[in-house]
Amino acid sequence: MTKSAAPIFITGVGAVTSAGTNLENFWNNAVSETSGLNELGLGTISDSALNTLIGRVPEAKNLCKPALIARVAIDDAMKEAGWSSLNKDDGLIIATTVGQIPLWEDDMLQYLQQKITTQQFGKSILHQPLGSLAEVISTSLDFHGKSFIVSSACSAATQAIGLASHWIRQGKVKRCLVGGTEVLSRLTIEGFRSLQLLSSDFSKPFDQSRQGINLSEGAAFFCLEANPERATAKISGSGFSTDAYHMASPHPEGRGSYQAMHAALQMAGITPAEVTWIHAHGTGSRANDQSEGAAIAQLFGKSAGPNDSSTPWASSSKWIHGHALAASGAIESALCIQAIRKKTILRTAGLVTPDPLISIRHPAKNIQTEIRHIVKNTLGFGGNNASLVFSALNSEGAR
Amino acid sequence: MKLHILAAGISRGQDLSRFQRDPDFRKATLNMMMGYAALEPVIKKFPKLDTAAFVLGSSSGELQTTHSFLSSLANQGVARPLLFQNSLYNATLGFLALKLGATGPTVSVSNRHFTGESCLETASILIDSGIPLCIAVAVETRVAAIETGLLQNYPGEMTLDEGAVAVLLTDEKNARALGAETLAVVESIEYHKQGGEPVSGPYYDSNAIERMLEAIINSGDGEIPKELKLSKPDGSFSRIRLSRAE
Amino acid sequence: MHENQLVKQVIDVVIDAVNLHHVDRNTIGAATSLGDTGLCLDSVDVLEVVVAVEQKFGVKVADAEVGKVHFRTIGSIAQFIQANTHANTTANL
Repeated sequence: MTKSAAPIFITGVGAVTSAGTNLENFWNNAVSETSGLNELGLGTISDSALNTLIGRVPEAKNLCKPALIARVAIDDAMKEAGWSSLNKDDGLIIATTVGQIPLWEDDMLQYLQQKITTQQFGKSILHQPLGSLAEVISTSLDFHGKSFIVSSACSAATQAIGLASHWIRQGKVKRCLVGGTEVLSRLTIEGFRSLQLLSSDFSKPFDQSRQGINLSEGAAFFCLEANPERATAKISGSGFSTDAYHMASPHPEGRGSYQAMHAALQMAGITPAEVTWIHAHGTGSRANDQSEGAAIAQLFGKSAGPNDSSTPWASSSKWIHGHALAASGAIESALCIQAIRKKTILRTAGLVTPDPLISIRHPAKNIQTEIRHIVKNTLGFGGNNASLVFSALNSEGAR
Repeated sequence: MKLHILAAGISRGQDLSRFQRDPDFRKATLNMMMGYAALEPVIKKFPKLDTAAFVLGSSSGELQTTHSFLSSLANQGVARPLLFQNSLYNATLGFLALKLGATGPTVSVSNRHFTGESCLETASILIDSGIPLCIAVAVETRVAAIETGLLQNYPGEMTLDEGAVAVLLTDEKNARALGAETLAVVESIEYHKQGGEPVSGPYYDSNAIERMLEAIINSGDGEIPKELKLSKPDGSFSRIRLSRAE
Repeated sequence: MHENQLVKQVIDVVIDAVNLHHVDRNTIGAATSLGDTGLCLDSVDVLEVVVAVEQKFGVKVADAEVGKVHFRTIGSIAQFIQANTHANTTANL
């Protein structure tokens, strides 16, 4: 996707995360480095938090957790955008890896141990298709337009946001509600543990002693439209690529991530020098951070250290909120939009001793500064990379 | 929309035993094998697809592998890493992308009964954003262990089916530039929540692309049906409009 | 267990764990590497072998470092099992 394209405007943002169940609290906790991870290294949204969320959006009370947190984030975003409802010519794209898993996983485990009947299990497995989440959320919003799920693992939400912006540009939908939602499950926790990717300590992105990732849950949604009237930021570009290297490990030199970032910058019509901040995927896994760091260094130049202003700042926020898989791109994009609004770059919380093999410019502390353009990265299973360029409203490309 | 179909392939799951003897497929799931089998005619016609975009749609994804992973967990207390890696919805696309050496955009989508349609819709977004070629694959496989329970939710005359289909898509400008023959053009897709006919016989959620190809193939050199009404088990339906290339 | 017998059982477990049924079993021995110069297993395959060996032989691989050291060849796996199980214990196949 290398054609230069018209920006699409972000008029509403909502987030419900383990580090804050609304955008303002989430941002404040990110700034104050108050992590939402628990003693097991997981980022959860508690039952009591869920009850509070139901109090905010009572019509969501019968939804299961992933739909509920999505619905609350959507409500916040739509209120900010001034969207009283979705119209038939709007679109809805939702990123998720496991969808409505709370409605069927326990039953599957019970069924596998012959503890419940075929008939009982047959009812719950109906909720397994990811599309059932889109149906439930559409019904909850009384939405009758086009919707679909993006399930590209950790890059799903960034892809969804990129696709949504194209969808509007191409005139196929008038506006688009887009985001991601993810909850923890036995499948993902035991699965990532079996791959030796989990850390029981809080993750330390880009640190030389980093040991792995922290899984978490959360949701974030955005109202996107071509009308800039209520916008607070814009999406200037997006880029997707694939490593063609390995199912579960990124290319060691970040070949694909480089391509995705490069394509996003081209679409935005900006040079690497115009990027203020790279909000990295930065999971805290040895492979991801090495790979992503190599890609950033190749595209933006190897940083000689914090004082090297020839390269943009680069950091990860996953120590604050964990890795919410498909929703991570959305949750972290919400932080990017807040960063533009609050003129603040976040440092990598949890980073103590930067890995000398990763040559990116780490902020030593949060930085108050005008932000022109932010590159948001994700690198996913399947070698799937996606990058977005978020820009301040008054920022244009040099070209 | 106007998606030009340049090549297509369908797999019903027959003759997959050849993959079981192939070391490149030693970790492949049934979804992956069927997806690749559907792609083979497309690759034969267009061998160089590494820079094409690739969209894969599946309603229940790698459900069989998920079932196997959770079974090992429930009954032996063992979480098997290979099974987990293959259980993610994106795993099918990841495998097929690796086989093709794909470096372009690769997107996994899902939309229950409209999964096939959403696959085409996403391909349209990618092509109209400037990617000349897009592969779209839809795949669904039956899971014997849960089928009896699942079937109770559907009308009595319906049976659960499986299949994989692959199409290579482009727009008119690129079709002309390639000098490639267009099998048919997808003009538009509409979605309707009510008004579908009752579904009977074999059905799988992402079968819209296969049904579309059947209509095109059955028309031979004659008139392609201008409109296909694809009814879904819950009473919804899609309307896909087709034409011959000019 | 006699080491040759154990090596044969490890080979069986590895073949089953990562689906190497296409490989001629006679070409696999104690010296066969799991990596590039032998069976060409990737990192996830090796994790799968670790899990299968733990389950079949009742041993525990404490962490990734232990795995890296001992899961290099068929023979090194057999030695690890030998060192971590009682001499009279039969593998639970």
